[in-house]
Amino acid sequence: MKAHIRHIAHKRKGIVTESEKTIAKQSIEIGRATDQDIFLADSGVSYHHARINLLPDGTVSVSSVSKLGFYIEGKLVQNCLIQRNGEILVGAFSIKIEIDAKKDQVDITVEKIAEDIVAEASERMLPTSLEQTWLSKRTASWIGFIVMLLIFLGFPLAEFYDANAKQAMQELNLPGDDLWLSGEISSPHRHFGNDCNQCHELPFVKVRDTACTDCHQQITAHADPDLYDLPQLQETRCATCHKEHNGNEHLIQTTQKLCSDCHGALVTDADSQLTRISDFATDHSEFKVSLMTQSGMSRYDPQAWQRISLDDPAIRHETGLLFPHDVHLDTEGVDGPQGNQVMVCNDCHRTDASGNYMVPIAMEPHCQSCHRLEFDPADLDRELPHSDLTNLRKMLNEYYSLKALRGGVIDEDAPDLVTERRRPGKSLTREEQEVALKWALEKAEFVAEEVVEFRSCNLCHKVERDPSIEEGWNIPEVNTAQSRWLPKGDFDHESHKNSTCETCHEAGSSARSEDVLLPKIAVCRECHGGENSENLLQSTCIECHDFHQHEQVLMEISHSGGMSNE
Amino acid sequence: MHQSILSFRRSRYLWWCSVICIASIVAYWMHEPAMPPNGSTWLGYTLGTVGAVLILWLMWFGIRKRSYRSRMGTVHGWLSAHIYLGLGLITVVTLHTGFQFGWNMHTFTYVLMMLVILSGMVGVYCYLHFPRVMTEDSGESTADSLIRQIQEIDRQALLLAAEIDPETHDEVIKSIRRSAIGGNAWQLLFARGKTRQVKGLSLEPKKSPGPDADDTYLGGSTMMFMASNIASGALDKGDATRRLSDLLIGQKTGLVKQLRRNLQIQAFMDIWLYFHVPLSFALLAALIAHIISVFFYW
Repeated sequence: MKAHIRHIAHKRKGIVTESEKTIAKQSIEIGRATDQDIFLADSGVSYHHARINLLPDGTVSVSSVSKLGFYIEGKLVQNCLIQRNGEILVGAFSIKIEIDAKKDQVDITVEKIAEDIVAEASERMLPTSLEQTWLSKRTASWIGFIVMLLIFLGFPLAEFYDANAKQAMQELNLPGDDLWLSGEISSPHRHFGNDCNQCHELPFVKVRDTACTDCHQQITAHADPDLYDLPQLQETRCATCHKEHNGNEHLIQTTQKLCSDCHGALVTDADSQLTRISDFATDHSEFKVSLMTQSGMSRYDPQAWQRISLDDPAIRHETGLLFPHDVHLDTEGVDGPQGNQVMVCNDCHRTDASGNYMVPIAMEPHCQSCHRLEFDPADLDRELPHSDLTNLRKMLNEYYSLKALRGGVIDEDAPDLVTERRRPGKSLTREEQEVALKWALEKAEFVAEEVVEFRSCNLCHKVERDPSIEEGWNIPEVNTAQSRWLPKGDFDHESHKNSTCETCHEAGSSARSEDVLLPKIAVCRECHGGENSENLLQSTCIECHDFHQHEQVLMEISHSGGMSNE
Repeated sequence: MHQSILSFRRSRYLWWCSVICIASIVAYWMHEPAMPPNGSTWLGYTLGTVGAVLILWLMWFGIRKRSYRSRMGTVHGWLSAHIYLGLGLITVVTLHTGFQFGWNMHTFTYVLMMLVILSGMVGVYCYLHFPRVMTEDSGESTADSLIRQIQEIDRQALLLAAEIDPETHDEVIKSIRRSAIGGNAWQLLFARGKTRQVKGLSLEPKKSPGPDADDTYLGGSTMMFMASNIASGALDKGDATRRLSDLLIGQKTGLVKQLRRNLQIQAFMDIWLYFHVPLSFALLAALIAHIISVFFYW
């Protein structure tokens, strides 16, 4: 038996090539080794893979030499028998075996069918996982990292360090340190707020006080640094309390913690006037008023002033004036020159232009409309000058001198010369003039005494006759010019104008002018509560008190705040 | 007993996360700063430091994951901690901001962080949900075994096609050449083939599908070709034809669908990381800029 072996190869574009050979062997070797009868160039085939055995009885058996075996009719076998024809699959090759009994030969057709196409397909396999695609975590990460660093660090730093870069960036509209803005700038700072370096002058250095005082030049201290050399005061920076970038509401702190941290835990000397205070509603001492407690002293004399608690039972305000409020505020009215008048607080007490405080009481604008300084019933329009005894006497002298010279005075005790009418054309002799003058001076003296000691001045003033002085009487200076009673706190009448005066000032029942009619803290507490009050006005320290005290020296710039004194 | 990444060691990292969150909340609640709460109060600085350290540690996971020799915990444990502490970061950093947000770099850094955490949450969902889906879908098969099975079917199809007639054999060869397993990122994610499948039935006998037709199914264009030929009576090789049809329409179609679904699920389990990692590096850069800027303009 012979074996006629035909190789069919499929090339591209459908070209088919064949090669043939005939061998006379009983056992035809199939494998990948080059000495095999049927050489199969396929890595899936063993060197010595199988044999086609031509059996004497005309049949063919195929036996596998390799463990890989071969396929026949879809099954993997090691041996098989072929009666007439069959096809086996070895690796990628199809081997058709046909027994041609007439020609006494076996036709073997070898054709590579699968592997190249399938292998090709598998070589051309596209990505089966995202890792094999163009997507790359690493590239994206580098891009993300560099872009962020450039925009958020590179541009702002370039703008800071290089003026040319800054200009270029502004022209290109690129954002610089605007991106670093951590919160809204307060309204009053917006006119320079775009330029961060106005305040943030040096890198890695906290904002220095000089950045603030460049504009805010008149900031006063909280307490005299010579008297109170405390680290808490010396080492605070402006920015300790005034934090920008929190919008409009928070540049000035209103929270009471800022104050009570120190004032709630004060350590004081025995003679200190300061008390511990932490909350208006629950922990605030009674108000202390500053007033003159000694009458007859000049108000410019510090010795005349004292700060006294409203709680002090001995508290008196020595004005030197005799003035009962209850008389003037009588609901049935007071008799005045114009008849009966019902007076109210506002008739005398008016707020000043600021609306905060009252215009100080003075005689001429507030009292004289009723308390007229008349002296002659025949001439009620004439009034004497107030608070000027010298001129008062002079005026009286001149008045009565004129009267005497003119004559016609209605006065039982006056000499005839004075009372008679002057005939026209007749002038007084020298002696007559002396009589007239004498009368005038005596009358003036009389009236002065009457007005000062008995009728007018003594009504309100303490009058003491003192012949040794030119004026003749000693009337101590009156102090009604005070309009601030609580100099350490700010009060605002304007915002309280919806309340009546009597709500806070018990003037209607005050009979003595020494009464201090300021409201005690209990009155204020009827409306004002502490910081966290639920049903009262929430009032913190700043409501009434300033940190920067008006009358203090200018604040010293902190030298130990910040990391550098450049 | 299986411990999921969430239940590792009886969810001990859940406890750590809870402790940190509760401590932060209590501290925030009790803190009464003179100014509105924000990142520059002492509590703000503290929470910011904790947050920054946490972020650095969370990113270290990428290094630990690749340090095969390291004995410092297990990657399993590290991942569990990474997830819980990453979630805890939401509380810590949000309180650090004091809820003060604006159109600036600082809020942008916060937003980046939230995007990173969000993508991480997607990742946790993927890791917990999809493995089961994949198992239920593919059963015992892996992507590799499916590919091998498909290749096997291709070989058998060729054999059968050769028995029918040369034209059919040619057709099958061409269709194998046109087959596409896998694809680009879009195709992997949406389980699509190389191009759209040929729609509509072409009843013209012996009409060969064009070169661009997607034939991975082999149930597509070639199926149409086969079907139309069978209908027109042009093919009548009986058994071989039937078995070829079985192979093409029945087995291979199903296998390819299964394979595509398998690859899709695998892609789902990978895609979130392509957001999570680059975003976290962008966050790192923004964080560096944020910290430097805060002290530059102190």
